[in-house]
Amino acid sequence: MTKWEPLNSIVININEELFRIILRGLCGDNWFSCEIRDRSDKVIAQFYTLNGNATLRGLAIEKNAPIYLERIRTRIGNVNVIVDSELGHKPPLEASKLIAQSIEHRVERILLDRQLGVRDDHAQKIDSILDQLTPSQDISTFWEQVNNVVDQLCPVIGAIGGMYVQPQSNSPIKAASINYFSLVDQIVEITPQMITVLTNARPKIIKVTISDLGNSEFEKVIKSQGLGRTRLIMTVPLLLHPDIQSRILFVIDDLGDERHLLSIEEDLKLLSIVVGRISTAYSTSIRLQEQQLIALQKDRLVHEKTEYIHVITHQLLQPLGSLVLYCESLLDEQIGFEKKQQYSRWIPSIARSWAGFVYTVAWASRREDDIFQDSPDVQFKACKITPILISCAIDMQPFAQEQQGKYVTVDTELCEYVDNSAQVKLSELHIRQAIMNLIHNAIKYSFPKSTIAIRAYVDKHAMSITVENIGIPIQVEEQNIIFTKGGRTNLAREIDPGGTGLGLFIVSEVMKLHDGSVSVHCQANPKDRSKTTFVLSFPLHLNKR
Amino acid sequence: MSKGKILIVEDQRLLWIPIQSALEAREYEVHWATSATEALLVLHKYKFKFDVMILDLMVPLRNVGENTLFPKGGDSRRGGLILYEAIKAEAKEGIPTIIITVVTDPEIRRAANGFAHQIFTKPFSLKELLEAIERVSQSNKIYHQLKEKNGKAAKQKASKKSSRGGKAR
Repeated sequence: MTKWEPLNSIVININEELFRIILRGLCGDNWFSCEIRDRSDKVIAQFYTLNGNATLRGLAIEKNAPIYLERIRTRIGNVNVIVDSELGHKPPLEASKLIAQSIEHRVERILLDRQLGVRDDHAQKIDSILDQLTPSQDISTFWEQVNNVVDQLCPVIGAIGGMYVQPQSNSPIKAASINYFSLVDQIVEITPQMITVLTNARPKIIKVTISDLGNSEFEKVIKSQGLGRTRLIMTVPLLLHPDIQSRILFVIDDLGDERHLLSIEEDLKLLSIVVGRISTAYSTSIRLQEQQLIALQKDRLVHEKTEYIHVITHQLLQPLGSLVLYCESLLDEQIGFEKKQQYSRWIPSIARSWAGFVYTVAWASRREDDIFQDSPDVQFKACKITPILISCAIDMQPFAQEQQGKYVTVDTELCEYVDNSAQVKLSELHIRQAIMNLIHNAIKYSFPKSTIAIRAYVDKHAMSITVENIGIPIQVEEQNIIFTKGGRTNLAREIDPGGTGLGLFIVSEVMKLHDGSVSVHCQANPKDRSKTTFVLSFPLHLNKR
Repeated sequence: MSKGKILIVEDQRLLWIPIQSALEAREYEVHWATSATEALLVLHKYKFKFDVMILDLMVPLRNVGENTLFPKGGDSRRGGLILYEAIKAEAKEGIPTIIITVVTDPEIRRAANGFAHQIFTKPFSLKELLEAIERVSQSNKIYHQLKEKNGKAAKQKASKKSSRGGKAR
């Protein structure tokens, strides 16, 4: 067993100076030598480089004490450094390894610092380009900006790497990056396994070479892509936005060149800064957009609320105004008896239609999905439809007659046939309201002196009630909106500005309550006098309540 | 002879029927229209000679089947105001107007205040409306009488002047 002895009082002080010397060697001098002195200014080492091979010889060599000499070879950057040393208290191999590691580590750091110095300009340039990014509540404007910034960044980033966004994303970054990466032979789609390997390898990721990965699948992919050792593409997941799933894509040119490898860590930093800045601006933009949307929604809600209250007020005050006038007319001595008799018959009809409207508003103010669910008024029982339809027609008659001489008819023969053929369980109160709403609309939107016809039909599948009028047409594209809350056609808004847009919504909800449906059919004719038929359909097999 | 000629512009016929009855019982001549277009046709027919117009601010610009006299797409919720502007464009002095409305929009109310003799918010008292019609109709008559009288006086003055002028010459 070899006996290791200390090198007396000689200590190799691996200080900054040594590394400066090594660096000078790295600067490419063909031949360079220097002395290393200890604290007492005694030469303890000589150093020279020749054709990229640096050799460090300790004082021990000069003293010709080779017994303690251990040659350490290491490779720093693209320079082979050989440390031949005769070291202190530890066995030379172990000590040499430590020194070698220390040298290697320090040299790496110094190289990095040097490169950082070089990168400073680069970073500033990138920074000034990124400064152009202003968060915008208009996301498309923001992406235009990003596009513009990426365009400017690509030549700058080009020196250090690039950015790539997942293929499924439609982000403009992708287009720009793909442009940039057209310079790359091929882009390898990284599998999740590869990402795991690469991610786990961090921060040593820059040291990874294909053969070192030990991941046959990765190697296979790389080889199959013909990338060999010349280009390794890595992605690092980086969150821009959950929907975008961006990744930094890295291109390492010439893995054999370790100096490039050293710069990659810094490249990653720069790229993270780029993507980080874009990501932050994007998040701010999204937040601004959300704030704007909230503000718009708030404005819209306030506007809708005001409109709704306005319409409801109008609709409630109209019949109330009529009732007050009719009641006062009864006391007016100058109005004749016959008219007073007529008015006294109308007063209950107006009151009933008013009550119907109040119900409508109350129902519609509930949430759409449970509009009648918790209503105590919902009571299903077997009903005959003829009396319901007749009483609805009678109640609406004054309104119809006074609206330019219109008339509501009920085909009692058909209705009685239906009553004799099928028995349907209905919530009478609600069905009455639905039919009243349909008749009311038919009166409002029909031509003067026309007839509103109410009929009923039955077959083995369903019982139907139809309300038909000759009047203004409902355009096909508007037929869906009329059953929504507040949905009105443009023509309806013009002709009845005070309407609520709730009537048909309530009809639709009432039919849902009965597992039935409401539909509208419009048959236009040449004189723009359209026959409009609303059909309430009650499926018989479902009507088991 | 009627006490005055009244035009009711209101789309809710159930509302104006009792008003019409009460006015006819008091010997007014009553005409009605249920849209701004219909109202303008009636006004043209009678050359805007009405003592009072009772106007609903939210009257539709047209009814079903009518070809509107107003530009399409107009805001029917301002139908009464649009009608009054059309009247002013054709008849400089306008027509004495009483507004009946449920409109609470301050902007529309302010605009209506500019030309209406009185504004009634529904529900209103028939008696009070009749009193207002009487009052506005009377003052309109007095106004026209005075105007006629002044017109005559001005004419006389002018003819005297011209005759004196003739002598001087």
